[in-house]
Amino acid sequence: MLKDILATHPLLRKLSPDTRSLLHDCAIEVSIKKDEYLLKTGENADRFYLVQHGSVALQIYDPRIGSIEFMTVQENDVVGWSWMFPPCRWHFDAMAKEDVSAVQVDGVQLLLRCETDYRIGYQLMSCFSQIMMERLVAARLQMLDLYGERNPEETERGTP
Amino acid sequence: MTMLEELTDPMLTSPWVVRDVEQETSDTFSIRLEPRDGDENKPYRFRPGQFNMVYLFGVGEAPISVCGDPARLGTIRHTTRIVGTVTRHMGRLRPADTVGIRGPFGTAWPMEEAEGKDVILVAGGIGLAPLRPVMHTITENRDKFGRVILFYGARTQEDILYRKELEGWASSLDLEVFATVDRGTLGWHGNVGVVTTLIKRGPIEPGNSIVMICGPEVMLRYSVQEILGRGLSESQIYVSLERNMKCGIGHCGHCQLGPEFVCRDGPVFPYTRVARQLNVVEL
Repeated sequence: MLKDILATHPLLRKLSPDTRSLLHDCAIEVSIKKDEYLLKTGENADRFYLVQHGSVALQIYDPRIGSIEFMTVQENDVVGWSWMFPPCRWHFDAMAKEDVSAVQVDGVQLLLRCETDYRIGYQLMSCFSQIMMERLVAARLQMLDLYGERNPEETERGTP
Repeated sequence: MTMLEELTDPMLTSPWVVRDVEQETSDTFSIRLEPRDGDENKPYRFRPGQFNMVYLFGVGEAPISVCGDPARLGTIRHTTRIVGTVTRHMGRLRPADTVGIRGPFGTAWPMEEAEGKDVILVAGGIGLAPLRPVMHTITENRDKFGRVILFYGARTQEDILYRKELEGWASSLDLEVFATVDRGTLGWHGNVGVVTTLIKRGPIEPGNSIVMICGPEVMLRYSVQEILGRGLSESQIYVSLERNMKCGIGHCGHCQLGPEFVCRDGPVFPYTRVARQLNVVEL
């Protein structure tokens, strides 16, 4: 089952069989109940999750407002990449919005292998860089506030 | 002059009476217009995607998409957001007030071409309004279309347009609606993130699909990228553009986009026809 998940996961498509096998050795299937946290800001970043079912809220806590969700992560998405970069602490919270099933991968073991086998390191970095780029584009679009206040000189047709 | 003759002159407004005004969100509202007494047989018909020039007497004129049901003749519905002088005054309209209408103008969404295909709609913000007639046409002729998927992005949950209607479509067994907001606020349990992230994981099958996109131009460009990334070709994509439309008939040139006049040759374009212009700065 785990082997099938890793073999078909879109993120891992470009991994070589031996890298996928390494991932398999570092991975377990987990279930996270609704409202439980997968990650908490500041805690040790030693793993990542491949979401199989359910959705996860990526959040920042603001004491004035509470937890602010800035992105929803869903099936086939990845939660967590801070395990790759020192000081390996989570930058955000991740909370299950509903019951979630996922594959949890041990980042510490993976990182150790990456340090000694650059080929594996390159493959994993390629996978995660792709996600980082997609998230960066999404974050930039979010920052643009495309549907927000407009210049009064803009046109007034029903389209934005 | 008869009403028919009036409509044959595209520069002449015809008077319509406000039947009701509905506040959609804090800055967006819909008006429903009916013909004046004696004009009930007015031959007003529009195709999904077209727009009217709405004239407020003594204030000015603005191009507004028609967002009602094309099959319901005799009334006109417009949804707009307050962004300038005309729309601000439009927001103050009350039942029984009169406005002038010229139109409908422009090109329509390719509904005939969409028949027999999966229809993928991508809307951002008030861009849902010009796609609403498409949803009406589809739901009233459901057997003519394949799978129907709507991706909709709004700023916050408070800015979601036609919320009840969206919920109705979402609960329908043969329509798939995916909504997201750019900012999650208290009480919102749905998806948070830009609409392009929905496209990435939506249940799209590229082969026999047609895509219609309406929203801010930046959102539109990035949506196209995601659609292409899902294996569809540019020729399967249609977009609705907005420019500074004034005359509605391609005479004044205010809405020129390279070789196109958006009011006459658009607002709905095959993406292939405008792809190059969309990436030219200040065009």
